[in-house]
Amino acid sequence: VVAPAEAEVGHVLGAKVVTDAGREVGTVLDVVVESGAGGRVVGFQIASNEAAGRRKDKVYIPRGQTLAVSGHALVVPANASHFIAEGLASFTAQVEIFERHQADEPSPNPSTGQTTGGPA
Amino acid sequence: MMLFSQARGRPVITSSEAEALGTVDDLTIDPHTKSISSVRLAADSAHHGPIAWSAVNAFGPDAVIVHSRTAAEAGTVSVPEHYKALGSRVLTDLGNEHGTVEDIAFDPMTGKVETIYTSLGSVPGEHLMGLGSYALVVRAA
Repeated sequence: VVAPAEAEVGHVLGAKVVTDAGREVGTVLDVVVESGAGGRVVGFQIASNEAAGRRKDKVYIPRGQTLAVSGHALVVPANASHFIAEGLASFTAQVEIFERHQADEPSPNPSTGQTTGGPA
Repeated sequence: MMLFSQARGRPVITSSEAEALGTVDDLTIDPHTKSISSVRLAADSAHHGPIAWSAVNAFGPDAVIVHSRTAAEAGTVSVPEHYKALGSRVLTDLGNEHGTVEDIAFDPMTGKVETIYTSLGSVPGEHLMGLGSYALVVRAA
């Protein structure tokens, strides 16, 4: 039996990280899982490229709410890249800020689908 | 601004499933709207058939984002016929030859054709009048 988080790790490592605006921000190095019984995936450690605007190679990106993951790619909301943290300690704080930010916005629910019109 | 030559080979990914649909092979122009009407994928792509421009959420610098596979398939019905623009002969509406199309610049947000670069100089996108199997026709300046 493989835990869901481990199963996800198996598929997503090495996948490209692409924003929903079509910008590649890096590749997935590891998955960050919340400690405790829940084991919820809260974010990803990525090897950032120059597009992410960071000099440091390894950064953390919060999972966000509109995320999709596959063996090919990890799609993150374009605003998630503003919440990139450079260490695990600051990442925890970033996740909280990001989740509050998402909760405050009226339209980020992926199930409502924001598909109409051309590129955003 | 983005060029047809740059768009080619760009991966097409869905944002709801992170599914790779394939890579861009060519873009279809609707000469009436002077805009891109659809995105054609390379033959070895997982998704077959053109993707309507209206289904494209973002034409980004590294990837083309479509909301879902369903959205990609939905728009394929009303897509106009494809004529290859790059390399096409260019004629003016007065019947003069104007070289061949070397590249085309478009607005990645709206799909609007901005500039047609021909072997004999550039032509503004709004001068585009028609595109068929024989030639791309532009209004004489």
